Amino acid sequence: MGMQRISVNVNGADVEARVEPRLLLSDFIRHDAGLTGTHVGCEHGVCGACTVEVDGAPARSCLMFAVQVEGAVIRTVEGLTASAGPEGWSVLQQSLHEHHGLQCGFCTPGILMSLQPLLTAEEDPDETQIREALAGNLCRCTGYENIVNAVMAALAQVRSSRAA
Amino acid sequence: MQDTIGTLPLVGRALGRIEDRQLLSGTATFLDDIPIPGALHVAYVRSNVAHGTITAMDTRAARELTGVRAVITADDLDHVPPLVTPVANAANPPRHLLAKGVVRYVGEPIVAVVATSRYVAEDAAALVAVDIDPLPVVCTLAESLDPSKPVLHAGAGIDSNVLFDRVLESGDPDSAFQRAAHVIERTFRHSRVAPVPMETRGAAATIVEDELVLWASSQFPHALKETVSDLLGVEKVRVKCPDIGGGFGLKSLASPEEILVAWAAMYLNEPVKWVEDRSENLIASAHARDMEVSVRVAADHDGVLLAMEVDALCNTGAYSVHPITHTLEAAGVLSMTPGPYRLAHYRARARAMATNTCPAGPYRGVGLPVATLVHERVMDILADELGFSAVEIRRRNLITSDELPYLTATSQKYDSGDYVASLEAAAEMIGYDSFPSEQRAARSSGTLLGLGFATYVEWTGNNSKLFKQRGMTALKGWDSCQLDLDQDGRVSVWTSSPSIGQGTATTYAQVLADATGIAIDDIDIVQSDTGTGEVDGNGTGSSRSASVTSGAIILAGTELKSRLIEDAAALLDVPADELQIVDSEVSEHAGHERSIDVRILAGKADPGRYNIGRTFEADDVLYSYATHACRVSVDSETGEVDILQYVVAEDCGRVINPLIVEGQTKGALAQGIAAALYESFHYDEAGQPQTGSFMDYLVPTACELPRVTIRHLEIPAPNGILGAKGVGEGGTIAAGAAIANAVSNALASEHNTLPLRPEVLQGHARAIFENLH
Repeated sequence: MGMQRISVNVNGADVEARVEPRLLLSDFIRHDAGLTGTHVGCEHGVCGACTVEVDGAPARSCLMFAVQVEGAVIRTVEGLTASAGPEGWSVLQQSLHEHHGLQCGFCTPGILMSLQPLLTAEEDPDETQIREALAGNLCRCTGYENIVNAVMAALAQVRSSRAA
Repeated sequence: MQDTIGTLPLVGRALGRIEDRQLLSGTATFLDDIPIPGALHVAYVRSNVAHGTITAMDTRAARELTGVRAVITADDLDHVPPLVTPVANAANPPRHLLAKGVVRYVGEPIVAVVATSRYVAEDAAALVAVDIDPLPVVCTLAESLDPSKPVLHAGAGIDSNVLFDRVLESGDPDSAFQRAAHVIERTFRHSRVAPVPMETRGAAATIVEDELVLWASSQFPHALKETVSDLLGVEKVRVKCPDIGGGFGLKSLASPEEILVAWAAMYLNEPVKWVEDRSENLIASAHARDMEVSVRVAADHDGVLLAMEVDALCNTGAYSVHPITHTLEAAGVLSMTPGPYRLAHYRARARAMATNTCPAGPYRGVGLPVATLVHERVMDILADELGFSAVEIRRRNLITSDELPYLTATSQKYDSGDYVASLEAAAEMIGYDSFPSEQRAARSSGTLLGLGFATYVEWTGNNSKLFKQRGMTALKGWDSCQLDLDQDGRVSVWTSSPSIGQGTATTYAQVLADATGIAIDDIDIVQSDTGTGEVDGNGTGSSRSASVTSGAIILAGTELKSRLIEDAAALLDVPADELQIVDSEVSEHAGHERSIDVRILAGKADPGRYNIGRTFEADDVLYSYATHACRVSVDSETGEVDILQYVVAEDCGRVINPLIVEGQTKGALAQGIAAALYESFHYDEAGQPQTGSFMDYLVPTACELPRVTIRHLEIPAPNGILGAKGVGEGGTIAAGAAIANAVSNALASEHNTLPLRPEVLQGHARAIFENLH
C-alpha cells in the first residue's frame, strides 16, 4: 500500500512520518508517536476515550486518518500535563484527583481533552451544560457525579484566578 | 483489628488516590500500552451464524498475504483439549478454543490470524472463507425448553439444553400456601446486559527463556495461569497484569481468545498480542442476567410472608465460562431470592439453559440484581394488595438486628447489621412522609411522580465453602499477599487480587500503613503478577478486596511489624513491648528517647527477613446490605423516566476510605440504573445480535445519571479481620428494583420487566390522564 508523508506538530514537537493512508489518527498517536495516554475505547466515535485536540479543537482521533492532520497542531493528554503548573497537573487534573473523578482512568484522558474548551470559555456553564459537554465521553466506573463536581470546582478556580 | 494493630490513623480517612497520578497524566500502562518490540497481532475470524456446521474453510488467500505469520484453525489445536469447567451437579459442556465442526453463537472464534500488524491481521481475516450450513437456532428461554429444537451439546453426550437444574426446599411450603390469606403469582424479567468495561479484553504473550509470560487484562490472574498451564501443558507460566481499565466481572474469565494468544506465542516462538475491539466485546465476550423468574408468594392478613415458590430460568448462552461456570447467575437467584426477609417455607427451582447466544458470565451483582428485583417488587405488590405502605410491609418482614445471626431457608448465615435501620434511614433521606401529598399535588398539575424502595442483602468476600455450595468448585475463596521491605525502607506489596480501577492501591496502602506503622509514602502496591513469591488466590471479584485481600495484608503486615520490633528491641536493648512504629520509625512508647529508623533495620537484616507472605479466607461470608430509595417522574407524553432523587443507606462495615467507598457505590449504581432504564442486548430470531455498537447498546452518559446521597451505617462485620464487608456490587444490585418500584408507583400499575421501556410506560402514563379527564 502506498505510503504518504505527513508532518504534524504533536505536543510542541514536529513529527515527520510516512504512513499508510488508512492509518487511523488514534493508531498514529499511540503506536507511531508512542503517546499511549490517548486510549481507544470503541473505534466508532461514541465513547470519546480517544479525544485529542486538533488545531485547538477536540476531535475523536479514531474517526480521523493520520493523513488528515497534515500540517496540524495536535495536543494529547501528555501535552496537557507538560503544559501544566508547578504541581505537574492542570487545574482539571488536580480537581479530578481531589473529587475522585476517576476510577479505572481509561476514559480520563479523553475527558480531559474534551473539556478543555469548557474551561477556557467566556461564559459560565451551569451543571446541565457541563453534563452536556461531558455527554460525548462514556465513563463506566464513576456514574459521572464526581467528574461533574470536579469540573465545577475547576471552573470556579479558573474564574477566580481570572478575576484576580 | 484495633486490638491487633492499635490505633487506625489512616483507615477511615478520605485520602486522595495514589493511583491517580499516572492515570491523569496519561502515563498509565494498560494492556495495549505495554511496549513489546516485534509483537505480532491477532485478529479473530468469528462466526456470523448463530448455529451451524462448518462445511469448508479456505485460508489460502489469508496465508499468502504479506505480513501474515500464521492462520490458526481448530485443526492446528488437535492436541489442545477443550475447556471444561468443573462444576458440581451440572452438565459441563466442552468449549474448544476455536470452533471445531460446529458454531454455536454469532461471534464464536473460528480462525485466528497472526500478522505483523493489526491492520494486516484484519485484512487477512477478511480473506478467510468459512462455509457454514445453518442449523435451527435456539435463542430464547422458550426455545431452549422446546423439545423440537436441537440440543446444543448433544455431541458431547449432554442430552438437554438444561445444563443446570437445581431445587432447594425448606420448611413446608405447601401447607403454608393452604393457610395463607393472600397468594400472589407473578413473573419478573431482566433483560440481557453486557458489562462493557471501557478498556476491552486483551492479552500479550512472550517467551522469556523457558517461561511463558502472559500479560492479561485479568481480574483472576492465578486462575488464568493455571488454565493456560493445564490446557496447553506448559509448566512455567507467569501471568502479569498491567493497569486494568475496568472489569466488572467480565475479566475474571479465562477466555479462549487469551489462551490462544499464549498458544500462538509458543507456536511461533515470538511475542503475540490481541486487543479486543468494541464490537467483539459487545457481541462475543460475555453477557449477563437474561432471566425470567416466576414466583408464588403466600402472606397472612398482616402482610407477613409465609412461603415463597420460585421458578427461575436463566439463558446462559452457548458455553460455560471458565472458571466461574454457567451456574452462577441461576444459583445466585436460587439462594438469595428470600432477600433480607424472614421466611420459613421456601421451594425454588433454578435452571440454566444453553442457547445460541453469547455465553453468560459474571457481571457486577451476579444473580442478586434479579433476586432483588423479585423480592422488592413482591414487597410492593403485597403492600398494594393489603393496603400497607411500602415502608410498613418491609418493617413487618425484615429480619431485625436482634435476630442476627440468622440462618435463612437457603442456609445463608446472615451475620450482622440492622436492615430495618437502613430502611428507616432511606425513608427519612428520601422524604417519604411528605411524598404522598407531593405526589397528589404533582398529578393534579399533570406530573407523574413515583417513589420506590429496594432493600437487599448480599454475600461478599465469598469463601471456598460458599463457592462449593454454589457448585463453583474451581474458585478458591482465599486471597494472599506478599510484602517485601527493601534496604531503602520501602515496602513492596503484591496481592492475588489485581486493581481493576477501584482504588485498591490506596485502600491496601492505608490498611498496611496502619497495620505496620510504615509511612504510607513508603508503600508501593504493585499490580498482580503470578511470578512473585508465594502469592496465590481467588482474584478480584465477589466484593472481596477490602475484606479478604486486606485481611491477608493485615496478617503479613502484623508479622512484619513484630519482626521489626523484635529486631529493634535487640539493637536498642529495649523490651519489645515498649516499642512502637510510627512513620517508619521504631521508638519507645514513652519519651521516644531511643529510636531506630525502619531503613536502618532493613539494611541490617538477613535477606528474606522482611519478605513475608500471608493468605486469608473469611471463616464466614460477610453480608453487606442497603436500602435504596428514589423519586422519579414519568413523562406523560413520552414515557421517559427521570430520576429526581436517589438515596442509599448502606452498611459495608468499616469504611476504609469514604471517597473510594462512595465512588464504588455511585459507579455500581450507574450500572444498575443503566440496566433498569437503558441497556438491553438484543438478538433477532435468527440469533443475530442487534446491539453490537455503542450506537445501539445504550451506555448512559452524564445527562442520564443522577446525583446520589449516601449514608453509611458502618456496623463492623464480626467475622472479617478489619470489620469491612464488600461494597463493590451493592449499587448495581438494588437500582433496578428501586426504579421499577418507583415507576410502578408513579403509574399505579405493575412494571415487572427490566429495562423499563418508554414505549411501554407511555401507554400507562397517557391512560392515567385520559381517565382523569
